[in-house]
Amino acid sequence: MTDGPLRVLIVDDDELVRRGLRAILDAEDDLTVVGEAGDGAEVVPAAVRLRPHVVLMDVRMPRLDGIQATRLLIERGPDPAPRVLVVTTFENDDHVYEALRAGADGFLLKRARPAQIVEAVRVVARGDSLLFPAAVRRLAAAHQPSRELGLPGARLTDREAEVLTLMAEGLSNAEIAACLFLGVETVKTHVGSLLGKLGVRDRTQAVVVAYRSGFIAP
Amino acid sequence: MPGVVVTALVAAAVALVPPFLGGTRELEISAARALLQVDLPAPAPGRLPLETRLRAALWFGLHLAIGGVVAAAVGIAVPLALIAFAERLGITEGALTGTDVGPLGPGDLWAWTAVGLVLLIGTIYAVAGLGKLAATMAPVLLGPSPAERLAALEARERQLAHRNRLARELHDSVGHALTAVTLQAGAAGAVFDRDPEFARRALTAIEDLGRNALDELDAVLGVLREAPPGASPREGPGREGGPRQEAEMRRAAPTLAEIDRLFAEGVDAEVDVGDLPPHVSREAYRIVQESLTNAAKHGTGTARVRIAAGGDLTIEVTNPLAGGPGARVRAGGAAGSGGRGLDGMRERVRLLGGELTAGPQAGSWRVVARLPITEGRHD
Repeated sequence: MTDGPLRVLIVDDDELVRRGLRAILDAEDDLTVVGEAGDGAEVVPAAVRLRPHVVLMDVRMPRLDGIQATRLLIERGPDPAPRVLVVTTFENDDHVYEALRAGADGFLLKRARPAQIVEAVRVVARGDSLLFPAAVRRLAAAHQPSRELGLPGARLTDREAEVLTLMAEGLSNAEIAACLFLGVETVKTHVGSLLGKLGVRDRTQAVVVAYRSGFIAP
Repeated sequence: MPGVVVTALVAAAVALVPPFLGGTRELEISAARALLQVDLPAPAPGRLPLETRLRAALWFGLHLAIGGVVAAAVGIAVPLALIAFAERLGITEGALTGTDVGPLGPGDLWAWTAVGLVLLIGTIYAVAGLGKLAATMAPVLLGPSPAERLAALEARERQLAHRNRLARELHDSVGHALTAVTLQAGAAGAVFDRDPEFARRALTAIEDLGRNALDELDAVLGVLREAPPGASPREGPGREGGPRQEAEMRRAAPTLAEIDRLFAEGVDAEVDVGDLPPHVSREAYRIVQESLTNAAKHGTGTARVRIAAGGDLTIEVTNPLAGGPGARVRAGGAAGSGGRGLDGMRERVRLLGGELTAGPQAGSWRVVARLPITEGRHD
């Protein structure tokens, strides 16, 4: 995605959380924290000014919460929009799924180990595999719609459907390629075209849509 | 003759007082609970509605009258049976002289004995029956009226909702503290060699976070534990939930640190507080919020807010009443939804061991709340 270190913006209303995340991320050579914001309302201007690759976004904030901030960031933020990694205190927080639906690319528990936090930022920035597929599946199962909606505006080829299914299981592009006896570039093409057909911007969103529509049963 | 009338009137008035006394009702309720094993709720404090007083008075009157009849029956039956028997055996002589009732004359000693015994046994059964009847009637006449029952239910529901909220906030707050502790510790470990100064600061932060979280746990669990037995915190119906509430819940419950958000134009505020336990700070925020909402709805002019912390936290919100100093305050004080809001506030403040008064004063509406600043209790 980029040369040089990954630029990270940290958004959290608790200064202690921001300081901790900053120390953990700045300790890595390939990551650099370019700024902090204490509220969702500050996210868009900060993103325009600082051009982060990844935004670590808290869900609960006093004025503008992480869900609305994510939505705003994607609508009015810089183009291309930064990846949004939601950080949350509680996994069974309904708002995490809301944030994913609003366009976040993955979520991370604040209590994760420093190594996991660092890795999560990298995975989301690369965008070639799903972050914590099991947890996304659990969230999707808990928010299963009562009826099947059908994939919106999409006519996937059999191959694309296969790729989407494997994506939902958390396989990376390389793993999908190996699984289907295809080249990695071919898989990337399929992924790109199915994202386009589903009208979403990344694989997390594609998987959320796939679960929501009933295309994949959790 | 007038003297007799006056005496009769005074006697009647005096006799009519006890049935209507609240104490009499309490006494009757205690007696019914102990003697009839009836499950009656303890009398609620405060003024009783007339309807409840009338029912209690009716019970008192019936209790007295039936008691009198039973006493008379026992008083007649026992001696009658005994005397007739004694006469028969010749222990007494002529005790039944003059008893000439229907077919029975003074000589029918066996018959009189039988009458006495039948009367005695009949009385015993009658008393048992009356006891049963009393047990059935006690809840009707001594129990709370439907309105009181409803009020009690509503109060309980509010209390449950409040307890749920306290528990949820505790969960959030302690979860948040633990998260920050974990992150600080993780970060300190990650940079330990490179940045010992950060690690040292992280340790101090961890210590403070842990201590504050424990203090809050102690204080809030104390409040939850003191609530009446059987009031298990389960999801209460009603005001909790709904989309607006949900959006509200996404945010951490605000504390006095964010009190400025409430001070729009037309609010004259003076806030002087130091560090407060989070649950006190959150409740204080809510009191100011509700009071200002009421002030905006029912008052005019500038609302004044004073918050000061000494041994207790004192919150005072005053606003001029519409219509100026001469304005009549409608029944129920701040009226409408404000009245209910006030009840809720008062209950919550009481749960935290404080007190809240509200009322008109010199053309203003004034709400004063006092909340004890309790750190954790060490018991």
